[in-house]
Amino acid sequence: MAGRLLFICQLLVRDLRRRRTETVLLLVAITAATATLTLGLTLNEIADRPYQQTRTATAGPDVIVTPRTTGQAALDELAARTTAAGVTDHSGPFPIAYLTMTAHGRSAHAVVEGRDDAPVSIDRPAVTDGTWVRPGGVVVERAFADALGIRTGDTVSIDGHPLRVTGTAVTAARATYPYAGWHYSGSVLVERGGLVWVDRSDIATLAGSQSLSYTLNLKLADPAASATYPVGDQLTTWQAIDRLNGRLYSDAQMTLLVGSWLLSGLALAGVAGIVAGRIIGQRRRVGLLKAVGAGPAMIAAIHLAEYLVIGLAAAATGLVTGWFAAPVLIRPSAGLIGSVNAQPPALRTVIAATALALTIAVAATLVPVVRAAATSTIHALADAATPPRRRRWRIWLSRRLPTALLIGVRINARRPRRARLVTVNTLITTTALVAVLIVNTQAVHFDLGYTALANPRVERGEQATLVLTVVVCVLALVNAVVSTWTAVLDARQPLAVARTLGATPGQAGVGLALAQLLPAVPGVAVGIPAGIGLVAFVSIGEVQYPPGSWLLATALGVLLAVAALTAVPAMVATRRPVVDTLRSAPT
Amino acid sequence: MQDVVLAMLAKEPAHGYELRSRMRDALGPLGEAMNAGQIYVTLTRLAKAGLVTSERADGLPDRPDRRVYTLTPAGQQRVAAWLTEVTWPKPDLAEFHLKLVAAASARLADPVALVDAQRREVLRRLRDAQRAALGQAVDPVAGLLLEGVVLRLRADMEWLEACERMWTKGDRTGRKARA
Amino acid sequence: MVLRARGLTRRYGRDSGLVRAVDEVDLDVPAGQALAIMGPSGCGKSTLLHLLGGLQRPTGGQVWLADRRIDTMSEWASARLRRDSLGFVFQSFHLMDELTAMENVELAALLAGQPPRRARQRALHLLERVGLADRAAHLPSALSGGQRQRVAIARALCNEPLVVLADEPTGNLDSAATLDVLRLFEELHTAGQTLVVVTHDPRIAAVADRVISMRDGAFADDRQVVGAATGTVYGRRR
Repeated sequence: MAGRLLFICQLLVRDLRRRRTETVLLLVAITAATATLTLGLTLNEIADRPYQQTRTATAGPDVIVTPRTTGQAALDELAARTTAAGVTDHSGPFPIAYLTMTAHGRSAHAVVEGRDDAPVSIDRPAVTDGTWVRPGGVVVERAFADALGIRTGDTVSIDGHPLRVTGTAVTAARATYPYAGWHYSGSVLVERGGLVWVDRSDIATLAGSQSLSYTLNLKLADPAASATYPVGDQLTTWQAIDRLNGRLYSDAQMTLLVGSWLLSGLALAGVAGIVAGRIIGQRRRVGLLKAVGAGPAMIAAIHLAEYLVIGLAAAATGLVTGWFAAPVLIRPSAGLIGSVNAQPPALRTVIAATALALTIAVAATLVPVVRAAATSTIHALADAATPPRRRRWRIWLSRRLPTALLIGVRINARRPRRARLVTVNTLITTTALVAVLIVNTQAVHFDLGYTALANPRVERGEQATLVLTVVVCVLALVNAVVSTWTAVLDARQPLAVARTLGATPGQAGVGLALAQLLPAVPGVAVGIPAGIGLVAFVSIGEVQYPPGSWLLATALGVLLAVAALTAVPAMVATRRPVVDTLRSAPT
Repeated sequence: MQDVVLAMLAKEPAHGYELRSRMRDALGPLGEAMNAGQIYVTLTRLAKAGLVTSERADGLPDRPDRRVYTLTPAGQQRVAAWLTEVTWPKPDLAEFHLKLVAAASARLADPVALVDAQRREVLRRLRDAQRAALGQAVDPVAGLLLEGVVLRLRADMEWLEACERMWTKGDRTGRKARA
Repeated sequence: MVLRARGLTRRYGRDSGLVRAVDEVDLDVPAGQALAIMGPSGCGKSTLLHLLGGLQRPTGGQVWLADRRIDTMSEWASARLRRDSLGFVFQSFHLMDELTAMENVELAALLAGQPPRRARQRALHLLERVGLADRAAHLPSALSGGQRQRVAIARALCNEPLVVLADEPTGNLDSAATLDVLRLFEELHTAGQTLVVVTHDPRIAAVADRVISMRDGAFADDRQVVGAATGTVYGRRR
């Protein structure tokens, strides 16, 4: 048994080293899928963990009550809350005004909270820069300051009153910008805005004619019990804030998770393509192994082991890549404290990425490996490639076509499996690109209306989209190159024969490029509705469709890219003298 | 030849000319070269050895080609013995080989030129045999004989090629040694 | 002369690694001649055939096909030439596995731009001529070696070439199949088709009216074969 294992390991290492390019390509394909999945799952952690840290550091409340009523009525309403069952501690009520802050010529809604100098038992915002509130000064929530470009020492104006920024701070009692919960006094419609703290004595002046609202922070005996509180415009819980903070990443996360499905599909197509080419090369070895007495199970084990090793390696690479790329690509909110990479990836992320990698590896290889293991020894030793398929109607049809098309259709018909992979590849690529296009169209219409400030949520969504687009394009490129190259190798002999019969190198090259382009056409055609459908399925709101000309341009772009990618190796291949090919061709 | 004629008679008693046409059919194009008198000389010898007997056919002049020949028991024994024999005629390559060696050592002639001439002759024979085999009318059984001849000649061609390689090389090394 | 070559040379490598695959060969093939170029493997006969067919470019010398210089032609022009004036037959047939015998033959006509109907008629006619009309719908895998080679010969004849160039046409065949191919060549020869066959199979000599021996890239012996099967006379030309 030990000898067998040793033998399998030896073969495995040799084979991986001998076919380095293929090994690297396999690794790249699977890694891209796992890295994107890791990135998507990690975003959860990025949103979640810093809030927990912030909550601990700032003695965050469990429940926050902000009555719709104002002035004394609100104070009376809140007084009853402090003695409710299960409440162990409270802070406030603190006065609140919903105003507009202007800084550096840009305006934004600001929730202004009046605070005292003295620390309180619950919700002690952590000052990250400068000092805490003092009369005539203002402390700005860090994400808000970040978005407006405010620094300590700047002067801002709140409803026309100039105030000096004494510092920035973070809190767990309200969601970070832009979800601070701004609304017109008495209105239930929440708009985007940030949080600032001023001295309690200043707030009445700032509010002017507006009557003050009040907010109360409660601590419960059992923090989890807050989950039973009815969350609304007057009451919120720490869980709700956590979710709201997470919303900052929800677009990005959705993009990346959906993207990782698409990428898994692409990776599957890519791996299947590479494996198909690889297995052809390994058939002879299968024959040799059989001749020396290895059974089909042993042979399948040897080959599957190889792909499993690659899958595992890709899972590890993907996890590491995703994990390290996450903070770089997706900036964590400035409104929370704590670093993103403090802890290793969650176990479920590791399991999910590994499972994905292994699934891709096994799904793409199982059929060809089992088929190779089951072929007769003599056949495998003879090293005969699987005979090409005959597609009667296509041969019949191609007779009527010009020479280049005739060659293209026939080469395409020879290998239906590879043609299908090309279709899948272009289908997924087009789907992804169309989806990205629609998401981008969406973002354009998603305006704050009265402020030119960037919405951090959209910003993160766009970053994720960019990442996804780049990864999809890279993977699609790898797939296209691999598939073209196997096509070139496979079509060498028929093309050489066609050339001895008088086809010009141009006709042969264009024919080969067409053979790759033809199956791409249905992929692109289906990819457009698929992309639209995907966005419609995933997004909650109404979907804005991009103009038809854009979709058409995307489709043509994909086809053009496929054509260009194919034309180069095809032309190179047809440059080779016919004689060399004929000589090396099997009899 | 004697054995062949005896074996041909094993089926049934026959006239000399019948025997001759049977042999010609079996040999196909190669049988055309066979001398008519040869068979009667052979039959006369066999009769003398007591292996065949012959009878005059009624109403015909007493000439060898008008006699019906029959095997004697001794003849039958001889046929049986012949069938189980495994001797195989072999072409005498040794002679040509020694010719080349002698020509080279005594510088009588260029061995490569000898090989070349010989090859031309073999090619000519091969061509004739192959052309005969190409003829549409050739009986499959007779064609088998032609195929054997062609195969033999091809083997000879291959051997002559090997000879040429050898002697060309020997020539070179010889020249080198002299230089 | 249908095919003419002067000082035809093809070299590979350089310095000590220099190989003269074809070395200063002069050749004249008159119309209707059946020429066999014989020699052991590696003597350069296949390269010579490729040079004559414009599949490879010579490093020196000239080739004319029906008074057109072909060694300096562009790849595009020589492709047209192969299409219209040359037919190739290979040792390993080089039929397309996924096409039937008929489709393999008509492919040559289709590539030459003939309408599908004409191409089909031509293919059927040629398959009849090589005695395979009843096998037209069979895939190469369902044909014997000799039948495959006959399909390949039909394909080579598809565009009525000036010259049929054959490279070891009997190399992969048993003796019965060889006989079929030889008979076919004999018929073509009788019909006036110019044939150039390179081979190491001496049986080809049976259908040739001229045999050239090739050694180390050059012609060692050029024999004009005069006369029929009997009373053959061999005359040396040099």
